[in-house]
Amino acid sequence: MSNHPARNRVHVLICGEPLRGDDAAAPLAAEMLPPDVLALATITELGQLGVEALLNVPADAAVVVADAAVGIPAGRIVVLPLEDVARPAGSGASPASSHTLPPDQVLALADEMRGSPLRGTFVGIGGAEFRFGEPPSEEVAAALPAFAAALADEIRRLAAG
Amino acid sequence: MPNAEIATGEHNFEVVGIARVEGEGTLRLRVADGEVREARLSIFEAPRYFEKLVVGRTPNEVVDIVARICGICPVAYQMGASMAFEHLFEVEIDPQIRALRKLFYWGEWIESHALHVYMLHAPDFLGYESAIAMARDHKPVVEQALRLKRTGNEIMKLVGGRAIHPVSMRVGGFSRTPSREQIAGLRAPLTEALALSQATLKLVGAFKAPRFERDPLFVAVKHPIEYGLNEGRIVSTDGIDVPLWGWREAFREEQHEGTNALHARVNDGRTYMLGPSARVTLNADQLHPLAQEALKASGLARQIARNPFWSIAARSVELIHASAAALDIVNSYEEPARPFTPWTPRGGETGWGTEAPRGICWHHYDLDDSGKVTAAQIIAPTGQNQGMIEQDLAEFAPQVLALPHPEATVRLEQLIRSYDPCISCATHFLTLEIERD
Repeated sequence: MSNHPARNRVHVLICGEPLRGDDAAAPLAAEMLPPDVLALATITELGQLGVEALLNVPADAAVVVADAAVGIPAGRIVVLPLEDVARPAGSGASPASSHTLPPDQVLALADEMRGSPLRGTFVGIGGAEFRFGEPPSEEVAAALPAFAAALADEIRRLAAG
Repeated sequence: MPNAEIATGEHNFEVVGIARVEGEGTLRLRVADGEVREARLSIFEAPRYFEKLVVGRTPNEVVDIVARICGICPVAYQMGASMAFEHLFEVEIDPQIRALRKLFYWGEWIESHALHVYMLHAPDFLGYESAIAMARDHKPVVEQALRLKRTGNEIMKLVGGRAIHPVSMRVGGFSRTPSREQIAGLRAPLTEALALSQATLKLVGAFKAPRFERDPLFVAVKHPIEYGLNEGRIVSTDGIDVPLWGWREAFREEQHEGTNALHARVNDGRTYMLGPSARVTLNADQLHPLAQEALKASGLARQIARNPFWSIAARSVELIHASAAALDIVNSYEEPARPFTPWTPRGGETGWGTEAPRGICWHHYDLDDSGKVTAAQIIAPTGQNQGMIEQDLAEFAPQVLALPHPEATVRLEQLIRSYDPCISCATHFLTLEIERD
């Protein structure tokens, strides 16, 4: 059980589909978090990031969003402030998805609805393979301990205020 | 899955921001002499993989596995699989379980339709590039959407055990059923959802849709006395009428070059359209009285039947129906004596289709004598609609080809979004390629 006051816990949103290659990276990294870090966090596993999950984060709480990313080499880890990931309205051509909202828009929409930007961090890892039924790529599998460590560092940092 | 380029502030339209790579849709238009000679929407669909994954599994394992196909419509996949097995095993379903399943499904419809109407489609009509921009000017509208969506989630969580990839559905019923008190807790949110749904139709009824009319072949589930959902027959506007297990009697799948998804056609080769517009057109007289009344007051029935952009109104009508029908179930719910009817597996062949939010989702299974699956076919609505989407794109595109590329893309995307396609049940975007001969 956590001794950390619930209101100060870091809200960690673990995104990704475990059946889908490198998309499993964040769920797998979450399983590697040590108990002292878990005691600082409220962890929610999501297939995809949704606005509701972000609106449920208390006003004064910090949040970490962990997910696999495309556009960077497989296995590379990125740690970015959430405000850098959220795509602001009016930032150029932005075709909406035909089925669900993408994470940058979800983050920006949550900021808009909350009235202020979420305090927190995106911890990502570059992915290569996202096909259903595939295991994580070699690059991502090899980088999972470092990904989990980066996630743990961010949780500790944000929990410390 | 954020694209690192976005994270560093760069936006590349061709890469199109965030995408699960194999989930991207690409639309290629081949234009010659100002005419669209070919429109091809290349998509990837998840069910193909799952058809292999379920081989060797027991019926209840299949029901759990197929929930993973889609994060938005898991109930549709679970319901189709479960009812296909129940059909083969001749399982009699308790009336309260039947009602609970409908409530479960209406929850999924509310969640899915609210997301699509407000977050994905409304920005097109209101001239916003995204729901974020719309939220800045219309915050109460977005709050309305989130409240509706939350109600859908609450239903799915209560009945299904969790909102995403629910776990309580099983062959014969559920692994556990909610108490009367728990179900009564849905009364207030559903009462609000009904009022919000009625407001939604009024809101979208004031939208202006692009001028585009055609007369598609609509296909939907039709029930003798209820709005088609889980039971009834598969019917069309031109007289197709086959049992829910008999999809193959009237339709077939075929491989098309350039797409991983199989297209479906009527056996005579025609394309057809599934989903809210088809259902509202074919089953208008079986909508909940409150939804019938709202549809009549909107005056949009003809537009829904002719213009694909007005699917937003059909979805809104169905939001009213789903909320009202769910509320009726909540008000009359009695906890069933047992959560599921026991059954005995047997070998054989079975099929069943139900109405997912975006149209009929059809399952077919072959089972060995021990009751394990030896072959599966899962036909998602998007693959069935794909031929119609391409046909609509080819007919509509000449109206927008003279526009700048980004504007043309937005217009064509708006048309594609009218079908609410589930491309890979991941985030996905459209990349538009116009090839001019």
